[in-house]
Order: sequence, then structure tokens, then C-alpha cells
Amino acid sequence: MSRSADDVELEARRFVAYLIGQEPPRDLIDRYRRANQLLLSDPLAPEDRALMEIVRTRPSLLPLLDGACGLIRPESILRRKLLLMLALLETAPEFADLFDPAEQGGPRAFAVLIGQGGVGVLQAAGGLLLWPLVALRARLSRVR
Amino acid sequence: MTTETVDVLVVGSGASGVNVAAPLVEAGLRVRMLDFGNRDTEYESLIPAASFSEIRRMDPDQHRYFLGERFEGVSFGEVETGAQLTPPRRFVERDADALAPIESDSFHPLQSLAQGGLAAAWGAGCPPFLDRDMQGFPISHSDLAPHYDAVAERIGVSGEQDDLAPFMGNLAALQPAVQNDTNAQKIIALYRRRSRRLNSGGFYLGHPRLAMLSRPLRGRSATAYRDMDFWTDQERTVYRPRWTVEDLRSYPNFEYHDGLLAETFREIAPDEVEVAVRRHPGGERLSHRARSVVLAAGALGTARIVLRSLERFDHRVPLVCNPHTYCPMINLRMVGRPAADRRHSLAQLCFVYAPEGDTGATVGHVYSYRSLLGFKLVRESPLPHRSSARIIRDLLSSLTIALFQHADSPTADKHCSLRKRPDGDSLEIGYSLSGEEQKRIDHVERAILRNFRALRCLAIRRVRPGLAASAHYAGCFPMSASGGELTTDVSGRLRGTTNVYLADGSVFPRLPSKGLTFTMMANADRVGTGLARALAE
Repeated sequence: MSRSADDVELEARRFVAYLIGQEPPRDLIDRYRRANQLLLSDPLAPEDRALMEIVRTRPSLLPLLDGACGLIRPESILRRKLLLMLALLETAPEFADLFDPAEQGGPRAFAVLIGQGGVGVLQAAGGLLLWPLVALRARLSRVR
Repeated sequence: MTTETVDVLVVGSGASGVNVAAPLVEAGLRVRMLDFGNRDTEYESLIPAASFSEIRRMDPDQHRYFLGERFEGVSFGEVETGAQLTPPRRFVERDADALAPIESDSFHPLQSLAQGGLAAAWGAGCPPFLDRDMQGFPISHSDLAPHYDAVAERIGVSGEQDDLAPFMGNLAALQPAVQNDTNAQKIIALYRRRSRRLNSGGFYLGHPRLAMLSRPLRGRSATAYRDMDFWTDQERTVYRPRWTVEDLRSYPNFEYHDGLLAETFREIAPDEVEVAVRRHPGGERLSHRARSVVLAAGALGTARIVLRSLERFDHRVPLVCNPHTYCPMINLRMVGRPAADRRHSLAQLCFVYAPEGDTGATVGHVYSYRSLLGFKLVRESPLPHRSSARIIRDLLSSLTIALFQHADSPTADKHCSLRKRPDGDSLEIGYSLSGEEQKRIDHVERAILRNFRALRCLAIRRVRPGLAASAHYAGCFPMSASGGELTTDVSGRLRGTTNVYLADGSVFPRLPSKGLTFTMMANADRVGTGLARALAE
């Protein structure tokens, strides 16, 4: 397996773990690889390359950087790849339940929504604090 | 190469083409339909005959049609015209950009070379135009009424005589309304409790008129509520023009020729017209002759053929198009509540906003968001994907989309013209709304959303997906009683010609705030009926 193929597989595993907390099946990884080749094979901008390198080496930062990109770089490669993976997960029957509306009653549902929204906002704020690191890495890669 | 002369050539197989052909064929005339005729040959056979929720749980190949074999169902960036097309419906726009080029900075229309035209993917809304909608038309609702009935009988229209009856008129062949889903039931139940107050402010809610069957018709099935209407036509529940093409092909006096792109017409004798076509693939030039020709290639397609045939290059003709706005809302009474799987995917409710003293009414539809998949909504959220996906999942049963459709009238800023290019020609479109028009749209939308708030539906945002997004194009050769260059008379005949008729949206002088397809079909039936009578005489 080539270096870039390894990278794509690692990326797929990191994304699935982040999005649904599970291991992706082999056919889903293969599908992700094929979709990447078809949709996202353009050369990366330095900032996008820096983002993806950080995500691969520090997966714990993924939710924060995803949140920050949502605010300041919504069309970044990281957001596009995550959206693609989410689409693949949603159309895989083994994960169908995870995408079906939960029946939990009005008050509880509102509490969960507020909680999720709050977590999302905090993660995005954390990501914004980290953003200088991405910018620095991008600048270094340009110099190199 | 020229083929045998027939009575009538019909160019195009869309909603207008098949409905102008039907009365001509039924009258015994020899009719030949010339069509490009793209079809879906990729996805139809992949989709199981099961409900959306069954497929989601059982079919390991669902990604092939939900996302597309080339993942064309996953899109990034701005919402564009045609974004509503699912991968199995993308054939509708195939080849159009290459063979029917458009140049415009602001207006990016959806064009079709499919069998059935744009109606191969339409939303099936069938609101008829009443007299209040037809200001500027040289015909009235009573001229169209028998043809609405004929078309309703042909295509199958379901609906109900409810609070919207004053805005929707009567249809003799109306089938009972299809059932609302859980979300719409909650909204309409609250509306009924508050209708007196809402009606006094000019807001009305009811069942939409839909070309979706609640009873079997002509070999087609009543809806089985599988919620797969955006993806497949397996049950033939929703009307598509190709059902009529199939019906017409059983007549010995009807011929269907596909793989042809009509380029020009030429009147070669007092009672003979020739249509030049190009075969695709291959590029071979052919010609067909008839006593009369009816152009039904869609407003933009017809504009191309007419302007090219009359060599009116660079001549501006008017263009109108309903401005569209989508507004996602949360129905607070459905948050965290279960929704039944048994549902159809199309418009659940229709609303009308007609405040007293205002001459025009604004009509729109309400959809429940479900079978178009949640990831498309996650794309719109600025939050991290994990949080967004969970929020969308929890809100899914309460997500409601209001689709506003605004009236449009011609102005000097809305036009198209055919430009000669070294390799052919292209349609150049200029289209912009005036500040006054934008202000009115904004004002009406705010007023309607206030009424939805009273129904516990809170708007999240308003999305304007581009000036051409409604795919309702019209007005290039308007019907006029008084005459005028590049207009049509009330029979649909293009002025300056003897035997060339137009039967699509290009003859509508303006567009009211209602989808035009049903009226386009009724007008095509009227033109076809009149032409059949004229040719018999």
C-alpha cells in the first residue's frame, strides 16, 4: 500500500471515530478512497495541507479544527472530507439507526439540542485559539 | 434526408409537448414528436421497490443511487440551480450545457433534453391559474377550464376543496387528497384551531393540488407512501410526461423519434413547414415536414429555435421566471416526537397569502424534510460535523421547508437574445430584479413567516438559491390579442408565420405566484384542440 493510500485509510478511521465513535468497515474505507479520488483530488492549498497533517498526527484536535473551519473556512478540505464521510456513513445500512430521529419527548430533546449546540460552540472557540498553529504550519510549508 | 410529410410535428416531449400532442392524436391526425429524449439508464434498475426506511436499513448498495455512482449527489460550495436533483434525476439536465449553451452573469437556468423535459423531475404541483392570476393574458380562466379538466383526467390530480378552494378553483376529475405526514398533520391541526385569526390576516393553508395519484389511473398505481418520490418513479404514482408518450405510442397515427435536436423551422409552402434537426450522436442533418409544427421545447429551447429560424440574432425578447426562496423551519410541536415512516415525499401543504387590498396572492408549498438525507443539511451548519449531525438527527422529524414562489412580470432588465458564435450560437440572458421587486418579496416573506410562527414553526434562515432556481421560465413570445412582433395570437400561432404554433411557457405574458406547469399543460391541450379543429376544417 502506498503512502498516500495509507494516509487515506488513516484519515477514514480518524473521521469515523470522530463522527460516530466506531471503526469503519473495509468497504466503507474503499468507498471513501474512491470518492476522494473523484471529488477531492485537486492539489491542496498550504493551509489545507497543514490542517490535514495536524488532524492525522493529533486526532484529538479534529473536533476543534472542524469547528474553527466551520466559522472561518467552511469550504476547507477538512470540512469537505468530513461531509463526504458523513454522507457515506448515512448511506451505509449498518449505521442507519445513528441517523434516524431519536424519540425522546419535547423537553428532553430541547435539552439535548442545547447541549449539542453548546459543545459545538465551545469546540469551535477552542479551534479558533488553535488556528495560529495551522497558519504557522502553512507558512512553514510554503517556505519549504 | 427528408421523411414523409405528416399533419403535425411536435418539437419536445415535456409537459407541453405531450399535452399538445394528445388531442391532436385523439382527433386522428398524423402526429410526429421530435425529441432528444435522454432517459435514466443508470439508476432505475438499482432501486428496490421498498420504502425509504426499509432501504436505509437493508440495501447495502443504497449509496450507488443516494450518492450516485460518481458521488455526484455530494456537492460542495454554494447551492446552485439544479441542486434539488437527486442522482437518479440528473439525466434531466444531461447534455444541455453543451448543446444548448447559455451566457449570463446572473441567471443560470436548468435546461433539459430529457424525455419529459424538466417535468421528468418536477414537484408535481398543480395549482390552476384563476382570473386574478391572469392579468395581461388575452385569455381567461374560463378558456382554460375545460382543458384543466382534460389534463387532470389525463395525468391524475389529487387534492381537496378546503380553505384554498377560492384560490384553486374546481376540477371535475379531482382525486381525493393524498394523506399528510405526521409533521403536516400537526401543522394543519393547529391551523384549523387558529384559522379565523390567520384568515383575517390573509393567510390560508390546505392540501396542495398534486399530480400524484390517490387512486389508480391508466395503469398507474395510487401512492404506496414509500417516501421515495425524489428518487424513483417505480409506482408511476407521480405524473411524468413519459407516461403520456407511452400512451400515445399505442396509436397508429403517432410517431416518436428520439435522438434529434430541432434547430430551425421554415415555411416552404402555404400549408407545409419543414423542421431541420440534427441527429445525436453523429451530427447527421435531417428534415421533417408537416402541415403545421408546434414548438414545445421549453421557453428557452423554443426561444432558440424561433430566433434562429427567423434570423433575429441579437434581438432581445422578454423572459420571466418565478423568484424562489426556501425557508427551513422547525415545527416546535414535533421536536423529539416520532414521525410515521408511511409518507410521500412531495409537498405536504400549500399556503396562500392574500391580504385584503393586495391585488396579488403569494402561493407556496410546505415540505417535510426527510428522504433527501441529513448530511445535506449538515453542510449548511457552521458547527462541528459531529454536533451538527446529532442536532439534525434530533430535529429531522420537525424540519419543515417552506418554498415561496413569487410572481414575476417582464421588465427591461429581464431578457434573452440569441448571439451568433463561430461554432454556432448561444442564448445570452440578462435578468435582475429591481429594488422594488426585492423589497416586495422580502416584505411578503416576512409576513408569511409571521403566520408560520403562529403555527409554532420557527424559521431558521431564508435561502435564495439563484434567480433561475425555480426552473419556471416563460414570456419570450407572449400571447397578445393586439398583435406585435414576436408574439403569439390566442390560438398559439406565432405571428408572422402561417403554421407555426407555440405551446410551452414562452407564450405566458407573465407568471403569477403559482407553478406554471399545470397551466402550461392545459394551454397546450387548448392549442392542440384548436389546431386539430383547424386542420380538420
